[in-house]
Amino acid sequence: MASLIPTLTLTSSDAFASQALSLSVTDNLSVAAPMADVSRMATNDNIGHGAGVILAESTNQYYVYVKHLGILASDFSSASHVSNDFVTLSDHDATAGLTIKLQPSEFAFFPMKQGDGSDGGGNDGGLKVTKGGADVVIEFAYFTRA
Amino acid sequence: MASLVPTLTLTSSDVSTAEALSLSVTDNLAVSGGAISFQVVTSTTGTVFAAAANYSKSYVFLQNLDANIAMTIEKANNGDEYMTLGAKEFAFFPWAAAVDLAVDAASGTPTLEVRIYQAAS
Repeated sequence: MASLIPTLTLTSSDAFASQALSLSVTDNLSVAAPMADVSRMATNDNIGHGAGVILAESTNQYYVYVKHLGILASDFSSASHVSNDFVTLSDHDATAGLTIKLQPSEFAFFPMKQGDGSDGGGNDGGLKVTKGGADVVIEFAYFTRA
Repeated sequence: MASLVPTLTLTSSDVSTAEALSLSVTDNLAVSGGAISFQVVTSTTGTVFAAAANYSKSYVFLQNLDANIAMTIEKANNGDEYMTLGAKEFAFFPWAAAVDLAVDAASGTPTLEVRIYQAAS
């Protein structure tokens, strides 16, 4: 078992007229394998569970980080389209959307609910990234909740 | 239009014996329209706290303020489940506002903090 320390800050000087936004939260999470340290893949890559699938169906709970790197999968270099080339996150077989939509440079961090480990229904578990336009490159990491 | 600057760091000295984890990412998000901050007293019956029909794409911060009780973020009461927020855990994500966000406590009436910043279109 290991410790993962996530810290999030949200700041804004102009979101509100009469108060600056300065939010900061941190936590100390107990994590274990299976885990993936910072990694990158294209939305059409198959890293072992099917194209675009980061995590197969599972009964594990995971802490998940995903970032849209804003580059195309075709050469891992050219900039992706600002609005058309978004990605969405769903469960393994894309039957239950996480309702997360990442445009270039956007990221998400969340504790993913465990699935029932079997196919069918809305609680399969797992995590899949699906392209909106062209295939793009994402960065990700995940850690199993201990 | 205003700017929202999120910064996430993930650190660990022991997830790997070969390397420390030290990730830091930031962004500069254009936001406009609604910027809502509120707390919800949850229950063991799933309740919608952000109806998709009332929002466009938004940046969402959630934190379980309870020190002991977990809660589930789901589509509706007994609907598709997305996240489990353990005690004091948080989440930050760009929400497509395609389906509702609801919360269901594992027990009791823990409080969920919610902040929603609508993305500039």
